[in-house]
Amino acid sequence: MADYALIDGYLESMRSSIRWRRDLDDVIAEIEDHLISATERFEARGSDRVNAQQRTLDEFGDPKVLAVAFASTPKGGIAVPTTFTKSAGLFAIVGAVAWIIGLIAIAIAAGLPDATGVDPDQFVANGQTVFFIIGSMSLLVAGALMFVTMIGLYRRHGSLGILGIAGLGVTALGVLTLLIAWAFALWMTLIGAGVLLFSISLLRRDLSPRLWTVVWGAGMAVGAVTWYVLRWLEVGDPDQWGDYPLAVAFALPVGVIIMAIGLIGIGRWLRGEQPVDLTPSEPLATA
Amino acid sequence: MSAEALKGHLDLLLLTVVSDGAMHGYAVIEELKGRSDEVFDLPDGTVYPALHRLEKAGYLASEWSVVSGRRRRTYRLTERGRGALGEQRHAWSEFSDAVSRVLRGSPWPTTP
Repeated sequence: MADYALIDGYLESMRSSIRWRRDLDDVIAEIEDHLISATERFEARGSDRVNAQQRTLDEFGDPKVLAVAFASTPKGGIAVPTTFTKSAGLFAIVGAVAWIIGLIAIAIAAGLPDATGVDPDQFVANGQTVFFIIGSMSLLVAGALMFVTMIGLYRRHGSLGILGIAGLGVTALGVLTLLIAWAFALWMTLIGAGVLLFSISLLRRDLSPRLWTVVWGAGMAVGAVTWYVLRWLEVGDPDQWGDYPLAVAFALPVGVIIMAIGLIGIGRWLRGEQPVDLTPSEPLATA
Repeated sequence: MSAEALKGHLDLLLLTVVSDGAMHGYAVIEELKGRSDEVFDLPDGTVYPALHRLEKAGYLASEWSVVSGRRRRTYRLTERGRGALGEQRHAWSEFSDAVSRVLRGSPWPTTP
């Protein structure tokens, strides 16, 4: 658009200011249509091309102010990627790895070596205890990192309403119960319910990648439901405490692996966004 | 009228304008200015986030076409939007009647 140099420059500035929008090309196309329509109208009234563009841009508004309007949520939050949300993406990926490490360590400690013929005592003295401690710590770290990721997701969306807050609260409770790592059913249920609620609130905002949000949100809930079903079916032999190890041995990997895969997807999305610095103001219209 | 004074009423104004027929963003803004005799003074660009929000809420639907070689998004009111418009008009009517009744109860102050 050689004839519309001012508008071209403005659109570039606008594109940079709202680059986090998934529908960026559509928004820019809509703004471009507006600016050229308005310019043509001013020209029809006698302005030259340069003056017509300048008047149009003056009426349209400062890109930085408009960027706040495009980022504002109905409840006044600002939904943009920041350095914190980008960091949260890294926490998500590290957290997912920690979930898997915790799962493997717990599996070794819980007697998977017996099934595979590998004796943990070959690795370290009193191996099962060591592996159980490694597993417990890894799960705790994984839960904490995932919770920080959820804070990042909350801030990325500006706000998430009561469902999102409820999800955060239930997940926080679940992460705390990871201190009792062997209480699998309890923390799987709490984390499964919390992350499920939270991911539903994400899906309602339609901002995060839908596939990874569904996978992450459903993962631990599926694991918990699997445990309850297998427990109800009394699959395998009960141990001395009346639990069904086979139910845990099947349900825990299902929940952790699916959730970790989704968490990595979410983390990659957060990591991939370029942070922007918007000063909150009080825009008239909110997106 | 400042943008601040318009805050909270923009949805009603936009739904009202679009209720007369499908139109693109620039036409909506021009119609808004025209009907208000240019009293509403807000940056044109701030209307677009509002239109997008109304679309996300299901009050408006949009479709794309190509006009003069440019992509153009046109908005129309949905059935849900028509219902919301009716409710908002009713609420506004009650509010403005109440304000008018209060104002009628006092004499106009003299302008210094």
